Amino acid sequence: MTLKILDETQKAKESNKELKEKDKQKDEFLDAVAHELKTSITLIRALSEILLDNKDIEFETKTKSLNSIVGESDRVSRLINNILDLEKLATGKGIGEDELALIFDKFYQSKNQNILKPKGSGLGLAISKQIIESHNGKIWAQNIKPHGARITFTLPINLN
Amino acid sequence: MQKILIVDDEPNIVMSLEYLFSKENFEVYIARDGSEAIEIAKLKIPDIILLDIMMPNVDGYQVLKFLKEKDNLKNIKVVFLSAKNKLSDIELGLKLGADKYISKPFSTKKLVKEVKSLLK
Repeated sequence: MTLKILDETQKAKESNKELKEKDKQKDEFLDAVAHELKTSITLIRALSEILLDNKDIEFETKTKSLNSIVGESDRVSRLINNILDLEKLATGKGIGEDELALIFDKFYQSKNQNILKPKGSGLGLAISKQIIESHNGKIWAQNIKPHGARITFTLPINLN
Repeated sequence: MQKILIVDDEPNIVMSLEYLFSKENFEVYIARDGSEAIEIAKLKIPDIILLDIMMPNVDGYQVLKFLKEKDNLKNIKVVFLSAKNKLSDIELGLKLGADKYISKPFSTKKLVKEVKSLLK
């Protein structure tokens, strides 16, 4: 009984540590995203105000500033899309344990997809495996249910 | 002519602030990171520095600490311009001796006004 309680306490401590670490990572990620967004918005605002306050600004400077505003707006859009993509990563349905070995087969489609009917060709992972293995690499899948699945690959690099 | 040093690792922000303060008749110097800022500060002794915090290698906090340790540089006015806007960030910046802490994004009009009032 005492051993069991000690075991449970240990598990709770580990889980608490893991949660704190995840929380820290989340904070760092949000700080980095906020920094990127604010940098772009600072620039969009500063350039717009300069253009508004200086009507006599020369054509070349005006064009350069407007191009920067467009570029920064694109940067913000890309960042938002990347965050949304990241949100999707971790939210898939996962792959059944029994399917892990099968998903690299040509035309295999997981039974466990988010969509009613599988929409892919069933060739993506098979092609990836073929390319990676032809370069002496390895590819494998891990189930991280309920958050989705992780596909990892390695490729040897000749440093010489 | 009053001298202003603008320190930021984002070239476009440096460029717009350079334009802004040149129009206000300042002698403008620019630095793209903390170590460059220290070198220019030693050489030109500006009246005021607009200092970003998050920069590679030497960050804004380190630059300010360096300035405060030198007798000939410690009276230079320093304005932190940063995307970090938590109360703890602002408190740390002011505790280290910054004269003003302005969060990004900022109004350029307000920035010019703050700089001028610090130099009165």
